[in-house]
Amino acid sequence: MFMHTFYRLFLICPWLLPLLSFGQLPAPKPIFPTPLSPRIANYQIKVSLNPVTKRLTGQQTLTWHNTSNDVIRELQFHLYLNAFKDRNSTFMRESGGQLRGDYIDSDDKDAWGWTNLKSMKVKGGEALVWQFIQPDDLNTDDRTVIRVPLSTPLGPGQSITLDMAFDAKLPKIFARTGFSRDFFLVGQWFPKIGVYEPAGTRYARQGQWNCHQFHAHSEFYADYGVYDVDITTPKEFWVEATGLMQGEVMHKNGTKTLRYHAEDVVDFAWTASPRFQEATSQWKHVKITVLLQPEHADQAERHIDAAKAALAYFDKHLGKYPFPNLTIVDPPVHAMGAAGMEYPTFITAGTVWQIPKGIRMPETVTVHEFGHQYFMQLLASNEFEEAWLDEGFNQYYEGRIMDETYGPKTSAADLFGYRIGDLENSRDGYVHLDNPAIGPSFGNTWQLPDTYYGVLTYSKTATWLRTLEGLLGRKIMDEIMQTYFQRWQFKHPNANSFIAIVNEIAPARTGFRYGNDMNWFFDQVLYGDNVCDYKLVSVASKKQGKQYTSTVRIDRLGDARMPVDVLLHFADGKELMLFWDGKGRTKTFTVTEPAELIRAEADPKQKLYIDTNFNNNSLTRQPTSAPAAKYAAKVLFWIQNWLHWLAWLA
Amino acid sequence: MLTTLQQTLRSGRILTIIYLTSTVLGLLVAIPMYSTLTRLDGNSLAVNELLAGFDYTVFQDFMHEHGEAISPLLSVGRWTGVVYLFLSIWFTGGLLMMFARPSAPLSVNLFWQACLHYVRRYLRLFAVTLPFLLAAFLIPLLAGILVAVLAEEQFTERGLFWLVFGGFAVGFVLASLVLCVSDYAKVLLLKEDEQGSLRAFGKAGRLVLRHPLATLGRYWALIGIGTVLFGLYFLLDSLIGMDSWLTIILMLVVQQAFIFSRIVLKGWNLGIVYAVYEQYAGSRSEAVPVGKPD
Ligand SMILES: [Zn+2]
Repeated sequence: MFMHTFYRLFLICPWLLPLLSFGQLPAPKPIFPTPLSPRIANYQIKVSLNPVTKRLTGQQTLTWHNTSNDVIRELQFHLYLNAFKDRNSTFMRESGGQLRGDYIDSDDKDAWGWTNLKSMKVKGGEALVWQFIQPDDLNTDDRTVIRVPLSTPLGPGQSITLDMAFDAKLPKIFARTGFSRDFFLVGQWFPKIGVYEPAGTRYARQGQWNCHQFHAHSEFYADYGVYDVDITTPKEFWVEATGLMQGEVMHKNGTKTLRYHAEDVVDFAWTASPRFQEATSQWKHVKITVLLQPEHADQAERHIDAAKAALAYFDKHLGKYPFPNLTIVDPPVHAMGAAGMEYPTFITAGTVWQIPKGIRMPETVTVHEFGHQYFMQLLASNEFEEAWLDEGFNQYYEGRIMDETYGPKTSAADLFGYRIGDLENSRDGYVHLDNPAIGPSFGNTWQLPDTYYGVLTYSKTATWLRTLEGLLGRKIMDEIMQTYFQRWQFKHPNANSFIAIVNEIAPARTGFRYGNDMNWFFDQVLYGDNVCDYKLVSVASKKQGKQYTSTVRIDRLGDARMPVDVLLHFADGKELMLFWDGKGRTKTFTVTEPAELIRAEADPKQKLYIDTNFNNNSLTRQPTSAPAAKYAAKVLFWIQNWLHWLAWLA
Repeated sequence: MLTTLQQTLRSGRILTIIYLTSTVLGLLVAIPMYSTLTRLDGNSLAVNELLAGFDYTVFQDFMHEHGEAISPLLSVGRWTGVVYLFLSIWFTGGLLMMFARPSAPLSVNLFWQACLHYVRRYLRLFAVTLPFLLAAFLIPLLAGILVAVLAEEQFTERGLFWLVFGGFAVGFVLASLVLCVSDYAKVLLLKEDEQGSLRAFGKAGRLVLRHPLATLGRYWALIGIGTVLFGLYFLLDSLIGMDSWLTIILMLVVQQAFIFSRIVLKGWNLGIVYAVYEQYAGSRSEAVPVGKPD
């Protein structure tokens, strides 16, 4: 009872803790000798978690630099957790309380969450007042963004330091963040300043705040900074977070405080649970830590191997991962809403007990979420407005890494002869939509066609990036991606940043095969909803004298105009590669050769990965019915089995 | 056990009749499937990928384009199952007659007569068995799932798995018990010229429970043999593959041999049931009457 009251006292007044602690927290050690990023938004946060009430008590000091040439008269902040405040937030209205298959238990009062900003003061100065705003919609019930007018404007190059106090109630996990039983994944939890975009940044014509409401599908957008975070939890909790642990102190009241330090990151998340099992490994300069559910301990190597494969692949093909560590959290099955999420140097994976090796769920999630260290953390695109730039690019790399590591046709699943590759799975998601022309990849996430956010952002983008790779060749593709990475790391790229680099490199390297620029490509696949489908309609070969006159007709069934190769194979073994710009509706090739034409194939190398049907790309004049016989025999066999199973009941 | 296997194999013509019946039903789907596949692939080169092995992209592209042509065929397949279920009920009397008159191979003529004579009894028995079967299988399974859902927080993932799997396993054991009892009831209906299906089911149940090893034990031994044969089939499938006409034909033979072995197993099972029944309960009467249909 005594301890209990004591405990509560410190949770209410965490700043009293040092009075009754053992030891002292060390001053943070710098990670990088010279800053890698502009370090615009820097936070010092002291937060304590009450695992009984699921509440956070926090104090933070934000130092924000005005790196623009503008005079700043107001600040804007995200209060993300207010998305879970009630049914009326924009997040809840858009999601209907469901995200990625997980639902909020809306009758459970404990399931909801919120942030309460208690005070904001200029350091050593005036108290500030704020008001809720809704920059994206007219939903005045949404409380996820505030504007804070400054009585003393902030001039170019000046900095402001703010002291803030806040409380938060964590939601029951269904969308990334919150608690589930005694597991905590604390993300989007502190009042976070938006991004001030000076004229010329991304699409900004004049200086403006980019601080969107929390939407169902959109993730985040933030400036780089340094984070120093002291986390207080009960002693028995295992804590891990973004950045590096600097030290910990035990308090006499049964709690402890851990200090974390992170540099050049765009966000800070942490986890706490009394039941993790830790596994560690080293890849070059990176220490990998996996926090597993005890029941998944035997899958530690699967996570580590996947993380190492991803680290090595990105290092070789894109650029260096500069951070000294990577933490992978495996959330419990009852907290699957927190699985598969990315934060700087800190990701969540997701697996289940005894999952067969042939179902590469932990591997895929690890590779994917690690990829966001590039497409989100190192290249801080705006995930509200251009989710394809992080999710789609990352999905493309997930496919490349998984296919190279686990086999191109077996990287997603390989079980009982049923085999699926990662990249072909992405393609399948997009090309086999009932209507692949449902929308572009480009657009504000909350304005993409309903329920098609995932496929347009992830699958379609990955598929057309693989198509771009097909058209240009992997070497040129890698050069483009490396240039994009070098030029835009620790900045805020947008579509134009990427397209400019493609146009700079691709035409020259391909001998202007596809024109002076590649805009025609992006107009169709990124901004457009054009569908690509080529069909080989006929092949014929007639002897005329000593020669054979052969004709091949190819039709463009879709409205996407893509250049396409057509391969002709003759009886004497000769092969002829022809080319069509795909601009018309149909094209007939006529060739005269000494041998008879045997078969023809449009796009034989499957460069046009967005082609919605590869099966109609080829025709042979010597068909075999063996495949049909094989499957008919199998169908016969399994129907007979089905009959005899039923006969067992009679 | 082996004597009954010999008795079963001796009646090759009857086994062939049953095999052909199920094969004709299977071909009702397989032949249209063959012509549909040949027609739809449009002489594409891509289908050759499916010859070498499974290819997800080719398969998905095909199903997306032609799934509507394939699914009615599979639905025909489902319905032939119902037809064959009733044909199996019809065959039961004839199959049992092979063991009721063990002195010589059963003539096809007598086989048909026996089928006809006993079909109504066995239809009634099926009607009695089915609710027991469903209850035996579903109640433990649903109970396992229900406990897992309601008390989810009390269990680990492993615990939840074993709870549901345990429900399934108990359901499977109980269902096999019901099916085994039903087989003994079939013999009872034939040998004792019993008319009441429910009464026969009850008597058979008592017999099975009195001699579980001789009855249920042998039943599971046959399920075990069937499972081993399935393992053998998958092994051969992975060794031979079906990537050329030669291996397709070879595997077709293997497949059909496997199907034939299933029919032998089914006959053998009834033979064992007949012999065990005679051993523990039956009067050893040489000839069972095949009169007019009742
Ligand atoms: Zn992602």
